[in-house]
Amino acid sequence: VTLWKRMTYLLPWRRRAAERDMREELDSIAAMAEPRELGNLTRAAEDARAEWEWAWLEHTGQDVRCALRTLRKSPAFAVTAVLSLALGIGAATSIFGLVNAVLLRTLPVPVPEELVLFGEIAGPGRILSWSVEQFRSMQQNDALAGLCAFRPQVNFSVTWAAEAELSTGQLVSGNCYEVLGLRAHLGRLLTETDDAVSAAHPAAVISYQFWRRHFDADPNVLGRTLDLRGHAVYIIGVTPPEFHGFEPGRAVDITVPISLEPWVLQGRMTANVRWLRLIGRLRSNVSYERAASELAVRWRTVVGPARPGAPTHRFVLLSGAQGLNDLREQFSLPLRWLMAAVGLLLLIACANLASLLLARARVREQELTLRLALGASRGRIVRQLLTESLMLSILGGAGGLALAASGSRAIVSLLSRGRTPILLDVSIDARLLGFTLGITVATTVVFGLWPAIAATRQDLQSRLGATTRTVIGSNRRRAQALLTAQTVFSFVLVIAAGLFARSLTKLYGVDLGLERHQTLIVKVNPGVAGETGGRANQILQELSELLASTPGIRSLTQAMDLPFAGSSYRASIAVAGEPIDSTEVVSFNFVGPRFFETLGIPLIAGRDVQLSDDARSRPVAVISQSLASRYFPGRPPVGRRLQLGTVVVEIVGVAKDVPYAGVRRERELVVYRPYSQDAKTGVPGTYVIRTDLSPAVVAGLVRHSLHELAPAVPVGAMTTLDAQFDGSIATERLLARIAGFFGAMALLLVAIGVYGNLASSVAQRAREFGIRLALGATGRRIGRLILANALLPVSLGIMIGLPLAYSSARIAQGALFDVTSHDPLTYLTSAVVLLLVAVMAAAIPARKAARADAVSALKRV
Amino acid sequence: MEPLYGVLELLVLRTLVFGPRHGYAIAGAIRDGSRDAVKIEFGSLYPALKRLELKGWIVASWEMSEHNRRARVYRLTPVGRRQLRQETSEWANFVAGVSRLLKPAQGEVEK
Repeated sequence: VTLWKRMTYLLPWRRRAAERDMREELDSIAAMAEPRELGNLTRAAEDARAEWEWAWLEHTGQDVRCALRTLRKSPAFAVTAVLSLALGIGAATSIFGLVNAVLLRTLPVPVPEELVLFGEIAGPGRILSWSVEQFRSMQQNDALAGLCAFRPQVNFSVTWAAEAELSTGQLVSGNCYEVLGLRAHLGRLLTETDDAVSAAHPAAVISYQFWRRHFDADPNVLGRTLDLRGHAVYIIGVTPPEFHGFEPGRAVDITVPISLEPWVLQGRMTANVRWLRLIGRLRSNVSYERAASELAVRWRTVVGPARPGAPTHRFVLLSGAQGLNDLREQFSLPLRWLMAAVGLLLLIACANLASLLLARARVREQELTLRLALGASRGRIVRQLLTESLMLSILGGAGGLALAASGSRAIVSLLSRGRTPILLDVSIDARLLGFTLGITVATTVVFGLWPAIAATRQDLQSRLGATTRTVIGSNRRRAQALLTAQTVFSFVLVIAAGLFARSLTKLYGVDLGLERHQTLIVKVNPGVAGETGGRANQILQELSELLASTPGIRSLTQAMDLPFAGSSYRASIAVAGEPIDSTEVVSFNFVGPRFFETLGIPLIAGRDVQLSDDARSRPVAVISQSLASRYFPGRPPVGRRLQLGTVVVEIVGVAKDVPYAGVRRERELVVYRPYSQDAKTGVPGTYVIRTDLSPAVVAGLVRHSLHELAPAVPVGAMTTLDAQFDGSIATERLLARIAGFFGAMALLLVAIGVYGNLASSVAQRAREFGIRLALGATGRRIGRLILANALLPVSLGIMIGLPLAYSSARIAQGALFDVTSHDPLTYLTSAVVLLLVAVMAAAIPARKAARADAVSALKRV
Repeated sequence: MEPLYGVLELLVLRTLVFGPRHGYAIAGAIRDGSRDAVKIEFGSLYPALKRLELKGWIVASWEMSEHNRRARVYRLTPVGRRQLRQETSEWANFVAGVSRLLKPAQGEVEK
């Protein structure tokens, strides 16, 4: 019965009738009673309505309608509030999406927590790979259920049917999928047997994405062959869709056993070359600590005792739950900075909103007081204000999510500007959604509840008794305090922007030891057109000769690796006649004639690589300056001999160091060898061309020449040494860009805050200004007063922000290049910029106040 | 049901046993009947009336009062009368229980 009756109250006419009855009844009772005898009748009616149970629904509906109405009435407020909220939430969500994808996600395998990565630390930030020999020895231990080796990210040029593609592949030891605990999506995955018999029956596993992309998810793909540099390999299975390889963000298409190395990496990886990464799975009853100490002992017996004087290495066991951490390492610093910046931006946005809402509460003081006086309960009013804030949060949150969707993608593409494309799954997941919701709700509580409670805290008596001026005064102080807080955080962000910008400028000014302008890089891969082995070498050799004689090309060379990109081949060497120091690894580069001339690398002693350095002449090498000082301290190296594997070479030149692995890395020890003297290396397909012509013209020349030689072979990727350099400092460029973006956002939010605050305060104090004008104050004076009102909290914020920025900037020191984190110029400029922005934002309301005339201002109130 | 929670409703039902009354009269009757011991705020009484009406224990109608004014008058329904009987005995039990608890137990010595 009760429920049914309640239901009937949902009907509008039924409810209207009830309302009417109640009003009449209360009127009639009020007429009978003494005045004041009955107390607050509005409250009584409200409570009676609550008995109908649907009241909450009704109230919410009313609140929402009311909130939307009030927001519509002040569009400027609504837009600025929603915008700053959307910016804050959008930035936070997209950054979190990235952090989630890079730092938090684990490999899609069973019990990823049991996975451990092996590392041999050879110095700050240098982790060595492992040789096949070391891998086999390390497999003998009691701590692991299994240990597997892999070589991530190898370029495979494969062809199948009539298609060719430069795919990304990896080599794994046969037990890898067993250690990971993966099951095939289709067919089967590689086993130890495949690894052992690979020459007789070469097997490959392809990724789910590759299968979809090139084989239209055809189940009959099993048993078909791929052509891997002239060798046929059989597809035996497809990996699960969610597995992309060992490295988050880098997708792998094709996986073959490590015994196929000769087909992929020209057999250069002999038994003691360190080219593999190791990942193992802990036995379930062995703790991480026990495994680490047991394996460290095993490692010591495998690598032998440390040689006196050699750099000390140490064994570390890293968590492998998230796969290879190269990408994490590369981006964890920028990402951590992003998180910090986003946190600050959110704080600023919240302070901004709070001050906007306080300013609004000031304007609505009268309305709220009146409603309280008329008997509305305080809870009801707080609830309505909260609804209003919630509406803002919902709108802001929705805007934020929309921003985040495009923001994440934009950031991923920013990150990908480096060398390899990065495929990150930044799609919104539950954790991400929870994060956004958390921020939204927290923001609502922070900026909605406080002004709401503040607005209804004062007791009615004092508020009705006193003039509203005192209340306004205290609210204004609160809003100014918020403006100060906002300025503090903004100042920190603006300083960060300045520091990173300065750092980037310094990076571009570094002496690289080579001439990076006017240098073109062209890649040609005859393998794509099915030309392999001797025929491919011939095409590349002839192209080189043809281009060298082309007018406009000043000089030309070929190389396996290029500066800034890191080297693909490292090994231990020895001075001829001395034992090999296996703890030291040097980089190799196989180059063509005129390499140093073409790249503009100065030779300190000796000569460049020449055309006459070929397979018939004696083996020679050019070494880098730092290699010379390490292996031949105090002795002239030219004419001396080095033992490189089985070959003994004579040193014919010493070249200035160039940043091989990037400007900010330690200078590497490099051995340059003529490619024509290394039997395993074919002719490198990477041409370096120094020219005065425009890149487009040279591209045309190369295309034309190549077409004459081999019409089927396309010209591959084309870039410049400048672009290569930009790519190598991608992280720094990214940091500078991000810091700049956040600095600009902070300035924008300060501008909004100052403007919003002053505009409403000018409106509030119109009568006061009218009186002042009437008493003889000039408009200019009033304008100055307003400006002072804005500049006071901003300058205070700068003063408080200074020590904060000073101490927190020290954390940034590691990311800065050649700039101290306490750079006075940056601090000064930031303060001036912030003040200028505040003055500009304050100018509009200040001018409005200065122009007001006394009569109309007094009349208005 | 917790007895104390329903006391106000019980009192209202009890007042209506002697005949229909309007809201103001109910408040007066409770005050006078208890010799000023029980003072009910009108702000609490009025929602209680609506609650009882919703439960169907009382019904309201517009009638002319003794001063020839229109007044909304409440009267007990049969369900309400039954409810009153039941709750009165529950209340008596409750009061007896509480009194037993408050009385010093036999053998217990007050220090």
